[in-house]
Amino acid sequence: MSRDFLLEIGVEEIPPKVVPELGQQLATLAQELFRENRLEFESVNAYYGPRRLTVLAKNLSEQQPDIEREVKGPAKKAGFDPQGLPTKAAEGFARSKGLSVSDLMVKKTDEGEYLYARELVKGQRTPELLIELLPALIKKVSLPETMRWDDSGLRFIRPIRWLLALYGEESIKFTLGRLESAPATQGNRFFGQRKISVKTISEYFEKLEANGVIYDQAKRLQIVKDALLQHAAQFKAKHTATESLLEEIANQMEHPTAVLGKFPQEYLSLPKEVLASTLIEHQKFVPFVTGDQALPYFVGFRDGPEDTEGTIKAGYERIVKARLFDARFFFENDRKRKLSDFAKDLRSVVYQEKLGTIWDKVERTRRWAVEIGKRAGFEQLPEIDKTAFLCKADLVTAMVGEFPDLEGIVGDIYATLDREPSEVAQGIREHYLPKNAGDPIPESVVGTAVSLADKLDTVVSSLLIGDAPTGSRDPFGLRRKANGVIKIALERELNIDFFQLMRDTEELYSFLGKHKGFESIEEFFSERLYQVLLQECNVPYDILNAVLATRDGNFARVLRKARSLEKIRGQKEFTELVIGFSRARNITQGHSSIKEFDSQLFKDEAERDLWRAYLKAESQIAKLAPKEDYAGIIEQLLKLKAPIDTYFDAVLVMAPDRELRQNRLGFLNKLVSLFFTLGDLSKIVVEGQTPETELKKNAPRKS
Amino acid sequence: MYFQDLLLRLEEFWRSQGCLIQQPFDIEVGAGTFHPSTFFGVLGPKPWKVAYVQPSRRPVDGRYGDNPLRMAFYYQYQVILKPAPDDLQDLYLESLAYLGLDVRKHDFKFEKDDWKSPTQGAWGLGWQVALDGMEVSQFTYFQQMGGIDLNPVTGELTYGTERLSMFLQGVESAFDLKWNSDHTYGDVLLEYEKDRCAYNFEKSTAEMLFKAFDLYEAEAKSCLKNNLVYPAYECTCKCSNLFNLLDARRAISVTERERFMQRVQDLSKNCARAYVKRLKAAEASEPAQPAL
Repeated sequence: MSRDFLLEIGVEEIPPKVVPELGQQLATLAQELFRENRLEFESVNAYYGPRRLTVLAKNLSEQQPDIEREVKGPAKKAGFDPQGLPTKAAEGFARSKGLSVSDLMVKKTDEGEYLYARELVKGQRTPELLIELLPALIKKVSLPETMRWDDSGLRFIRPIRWLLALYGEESIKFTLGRLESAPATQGNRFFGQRKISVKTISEYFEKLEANGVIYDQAKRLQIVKDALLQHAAQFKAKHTATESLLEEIANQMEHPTAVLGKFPQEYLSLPKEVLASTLIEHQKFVPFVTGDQALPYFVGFRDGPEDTEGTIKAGYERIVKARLFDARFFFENDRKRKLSDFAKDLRSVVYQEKLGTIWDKVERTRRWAVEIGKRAGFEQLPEIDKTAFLCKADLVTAMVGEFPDLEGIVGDIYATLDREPSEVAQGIREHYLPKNAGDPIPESVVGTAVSLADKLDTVVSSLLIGDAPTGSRDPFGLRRKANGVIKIALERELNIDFFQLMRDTEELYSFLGKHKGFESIEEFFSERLYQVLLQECNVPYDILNAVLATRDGNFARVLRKARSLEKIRGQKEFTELVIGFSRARNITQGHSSIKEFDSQLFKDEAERDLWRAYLKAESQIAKLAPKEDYAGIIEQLLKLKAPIDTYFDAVLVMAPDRELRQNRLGFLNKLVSLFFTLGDLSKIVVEGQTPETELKKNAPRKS
Repeated sequence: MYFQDLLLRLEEFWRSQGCLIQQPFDIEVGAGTFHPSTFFGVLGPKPWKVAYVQPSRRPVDGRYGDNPLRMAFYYQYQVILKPAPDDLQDLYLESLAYLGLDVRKHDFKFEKDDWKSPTQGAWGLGWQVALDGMEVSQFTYFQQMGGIDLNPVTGELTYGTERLSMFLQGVESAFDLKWNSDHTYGDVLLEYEKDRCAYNFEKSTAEMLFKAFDLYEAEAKSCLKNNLVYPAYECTCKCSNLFNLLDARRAISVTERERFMQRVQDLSKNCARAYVKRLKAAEASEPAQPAL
């Protein structure tokens, strides 16, 4: 036997962007809850909008099935005396389950033998069960933000104002915070009844429909899309709304109805990005374009019936005109001067108390950018310098003051109008990339150089003055910016040693006097490199620990080393080499300062053999390393495997004689450093060898 | 309905709802939330209902009087209901009806707006209310003030009085609003607005503003040391306004902004803490209402 079930949570306007997520989550959680409670159902559907989240379950069974359960009682020792007669404990346990002692069973557990009773658990009737389950269900929804609104302490995304639960024709009465469910709902805020009694599920949907609520989100989305397509056809144009904007509109209202508005032709002279931002960002109004040309029309949506009197249209047009007026005011004011004049204004804008003005930052960025350009072999050095000079100028324009999201874009537009070279304009736009995770890197070499320069200056200077991110607090986005540098280096395969570059640009920061030093910056970037390689390039953590042990500032090279090691790690010979190397590595731990040795002092034949093998390998590797022939290097290192093994079998490194011991450790350090061309191979996890490496603190939890 | 009558109607409506009708705070502030009746009033457990006009200064919003909707100086109408009533949305809509606005003829939306006032250490969740796409009010359930979790939660309404009045009078610009039968809003405020904008954007002396900021900050701290909560708070408001002026002058970069806001926020939080401490001490002896 089964009945349909419906739950509606009435909420004050939920932010439209999270409506779908919450609606779907509620349906998923409901299914899980039914399953956990052994309730069968045919299907669960979600209906959602700004003021209600609804779940409809088809054919939800009326009763939980009965189940048999084994209940643990006292230990057997406690339940029976030495004669094998039941004690009071056993009798009491049996009685509590309505059984006699002979019905009990003995079962072996990890803690010894125990008495068990078999118990029949009667399934509950669904309506009663729901009274307990529904509050739990609602509290389980995970929310991007939560608030309190009364003294119950209940939290939700916005205040919950009513609850309705129907099981067939039975109203389920449950309590949540100060609220009690009732067989009633509400219509559209302005075009429906305030209190609508609901006796059946089909009546629920009918009455919503009749009270200005299009409860099906897919239908609302279709209405929005159709209206836009219809107007687009009318203008022989395209609308420019993204899918996410359309969905946002559809989930902001219960009864979307299009309102077409027009704005004065004269505003078409504004750059199209500015027009689009004005309409979309501020108003969620959808503009139209034909080709590259904007049209003086837009469509907004109201929640309710047609705007027959044109009041809303007039209101929309008034606000759009005021917004565009504002945008043009900014644009025309800005255009009285050249972008390069704005760049000079940056002299009076403090970037950071200790780091000077934005002008100072730009000056540093120029030096970085040109140096990066040179090292990367880019040819457009003058354009790179010009771009770095202009890249922050739009920050002091009124347009960016109004539309912060247009930073870089406004710079591009103004530079183009100033007839700056197109590479410069594009470079200005691109130098913010990648801004967020998932963003592309700059396309042009000019944008690449300036993006790297800007980010490097920000990260380096902030770290030098001790503004490192702590825990989840990274107010200046330093981690994201460092990740950006690394991603550009990897994707463009830039052959730049960034640590060398930092040391070479150190004098840019001499004005700071005493600072934190570059050691901590290299550490910070290594940590970031570890994260990027792990999460975005899927390099295994042990290989990362190996290649990052040498702190190589050429990020692209680090990735190539890692890839070569990944390729060879499964091979048996390599495994043995790692074991041999680890012996050398472990024994020299704590003695790495001993660098001196004299091959004349070698006593043992095995010592001399390894020395000769080393010399051969070293001269070969010296030739292979600049070519980054890692396969060749590995091949050379493999030749050391046998002599290393023999060495450790024959030679007592930690000899009692101090001089002899020092000499041997000095040599082994030399050997270890040759391996470090690739990395610290002892960190690689191989069969028969557990690296004693502490996992780096951000290493993934092993699953 | 004249602009002045709109203000009077709001006073009438909220008086009838049991609100104490307060007068504006006499120190320059960016919003009604800075009024001690809000800042301190929302702290502590006692019910508190208050409403008032608050002249508000937003230096960066100035447009020399050229923009029909945006001004460096305008009048907010602020309503504080503690605890927040369950039917707050309905009450708000009733108040609009009381002004004579038929919202069914318009596009009315509660649009997501997570309200934050970093310099006050305050945040809440709620909406901006858009009437035909124009923001006419803020509607917030306060969760925190001065860094302190609020219990009970306060409901806050802020009316943009000029914009609502524009709807009711059917005029295109705030400066064309009829203040009374003889004078427009522009008659009263346009010259002031132009001067303010020229000062805020062009002629203010950054050096002086920085100095004044430091002085008021130091004064606030010294007041706090002497357990003078209200004077400390007034100095904090001064800092907040000076920060806004520096911002309008573009004398502070994005990075520096954070730091300046943090400095004001620290003061706000210390004022709130000192006040709550006092409340607790008073609770021990006898119940006290906020003094302002």
